[in-house]
This record gives sequence, C-alpha cells and structure tokens, in this order.
Amino acid sequence: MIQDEDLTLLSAYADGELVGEDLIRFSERLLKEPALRRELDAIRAVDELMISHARQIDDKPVPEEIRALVRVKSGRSATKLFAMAAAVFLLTIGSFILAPQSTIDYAVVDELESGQRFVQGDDYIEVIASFRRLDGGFCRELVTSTAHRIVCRQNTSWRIEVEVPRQDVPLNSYQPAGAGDIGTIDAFVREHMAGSTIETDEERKLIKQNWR
Amino acid sequence: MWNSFTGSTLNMSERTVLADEVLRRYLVEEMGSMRRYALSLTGSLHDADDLVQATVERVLTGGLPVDAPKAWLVRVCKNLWIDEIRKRKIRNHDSYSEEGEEVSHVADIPSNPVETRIDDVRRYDAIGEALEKLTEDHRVILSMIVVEGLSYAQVAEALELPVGTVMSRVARARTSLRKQIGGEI
Repeated sequence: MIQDEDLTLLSAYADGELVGEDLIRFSERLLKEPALRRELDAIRAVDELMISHARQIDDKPVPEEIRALVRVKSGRSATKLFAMAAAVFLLTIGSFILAPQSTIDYAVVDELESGQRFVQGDDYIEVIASFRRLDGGFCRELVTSTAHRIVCRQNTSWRIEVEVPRQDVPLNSYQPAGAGDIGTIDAFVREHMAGSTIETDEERKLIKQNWR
Repeated sequence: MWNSFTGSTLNMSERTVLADEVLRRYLVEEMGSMRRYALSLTGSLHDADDLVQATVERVLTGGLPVDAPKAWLVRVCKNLWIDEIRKRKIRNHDSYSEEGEEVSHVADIPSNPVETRIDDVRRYDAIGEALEKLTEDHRVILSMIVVEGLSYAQVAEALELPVGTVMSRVARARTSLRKQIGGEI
C-alpha cells in the first residue's frame, strides 16, 4: 500500500515538478522500490488515456463561428502600425529568421481554408490566413506543431519565405506583444502583403482554381 | 445560452495586454490546445466548442496579459465553465424538483439531440465517464496539468492557490480518477 505522501511525490515526479535533492532522492527510491515504479507506470498510463480522450476533438473541424472570431481583421490603425514597427525593429536585431529558399511540397496547403487543420500523426498543418503579395502572387500563413511559417506560391508549389520555431513559453517569460515569432511573421506580412487578408469566399474560389 | 455568460470577474486593469492582432494569432495557435482542454473539462464535443467560443469572445473583449497569457486563458475558460455548470444546476434543479427527481450530474442531462448522440458515443469511453464523475476541482486541475501541460506554478496562478496545494490536489485527483476507472481500463 503506497502512502499518500508517496502518491503526491509520484504525481509530482510524473509531471516533472520534482527538482534538486527531492528529485535525486526520489529517483533513487524508484530504482529500489518496484511498487513505486508500478504506480508511476499506472499514473502515466492514465495520463495517456486522458490526453487521447481530449484529442478526439482534433478530428472535428473548428466551427466557423470560432474561426471568424479569431480571424485577423483587415486594416491596421496608424497607432498599431507604429507600435508593431517598433517591435519589429527590435526583432530584426536578434530573432528574424529568413528561411533558406527551400520549396516544400505541401499539397495540403492548396486545399485548406484558413482556420482549417490537417492532422497527420503527431504533426499538423493549420492555415491562419491567406494574402496577396505585392507582386500579385499568393501567400499563406500557417502553423505546424513545431513552426510558424509564411509560404508563398511558386509555380505549382509553396515556398517557405519565413519560418520561425514554435516553443512553449514558460510562465512569466512570455515575450511582449510584437516580439518573438508573431512579430517576425507580422514583419514579413506587413512588408509584402498587398491590401488585407483574403476573405473566405475569395479564398474558396482560389482553392477551387488551384491558386491561379 | 453561452453568450449570456457573466463569468467570474478577472481584474485586468493593471496588466499589459496583448495587442489585438497578436492576441488573435495567439488564440489561433492555442486553438487546438484550448479545445482539448475544453473537452476534458466538459466531457462533450458540443459543449467544448461552445465553451471555446465563449472563452474567445471573453478574451477578445477583456484581453490577455502579456506576462501570463496561458494561465489567464485557461482561467477564463475554467471560470466560464464553472459558471455554466452552476446555471445548469439551478435550471435542472428548478425543472426536476417539480417532479421530485434528483439531479446527480449536469452532464448526464443532454440539452439537445446532437449532444445526446455524442453522449451515446461517449458512453463507451471509460475515461470520459470516469472524468465526468470527478469533482470539478479535480477535473479542472487534471485538465490543466495533464491535458494542457501547465506547470504547477502556472496552475497556481490560474487558480490562485499555493503551489503546494496544487501538488497535493493533483495527486488526489489522480487517485480519484483511477478509482473511478476501476477495472474498466
């Protein structure tokens, strides 16, 4: 029978919340006590079940009502542009990443509407918005589980123009508005976008016409 | 129904909030995670998206602080859900008390045919049923930590609890969940 105190330590260990001496001592106990190890396995198994249960919703498209709410509005105020420009200036010093001129074979990018997500295994592609480039070409902003990208249409494929890694940002260290990947992406959009983002109906037409 | 949420008051007056466009992009990036969290809270696909919609509406109005957007996002979502549960309990109590029946859990009472079908499917999902039987405190904290992957410090901020309390509560919640699952899994 495992005591409550040990259950609390096991739970914290499973969550990666034990540190320093506590972690060392408990790790040693785990090596010596099979009952603790079995309990830890059971905790992890139930955690996995919980996560699988919650992931059911990934197979269901995000409702249009929600997508409409988070869609970036067209047009920006002068004040906001000034604030963002200031943030972008800071960004260019440190974290602006222009991706190598690689071409990606994202056939799925052709087909997704903004707000839709394509899931494949543990990864996914979700398109955030589409826009026209100043030279008349089309670009799409998208996120995967690991990256935030702008891809632009080139011939029959999509080329990565900007790519910034995504990472979980711990509490109290979230970068201010305009910083980090969001600001980097915004910098590209502002520099290259003609007008505003493409509206839903027009985007659907473009998808049907294979972005021609 | 969900548009009428009042939600618990969150004091954002002295915090710097994300700018509108940044906030929207942040919400897009968090959408998958937010929906999974909402599903683990509500136990229903239908309710989960309603809850996400209410949460998005709320944060677009009230904003998210730049220093802890995730903790506030889950807190808004949790508060809205708790409010909704309270309302449903009151409504269910009012309607059922006339017939002298007892209402055991809000999620047992489907509100429309779509939800009924979803619940039919979910009936075979042992973990879903076990989650429904947990207390709200336990379900909330497990959803935050296991599904959302928040740290104890983030949960402590979101729930306004000491980290030590978070640590012991999540352990008790896990024990309770395993008891509910029993031999079904």
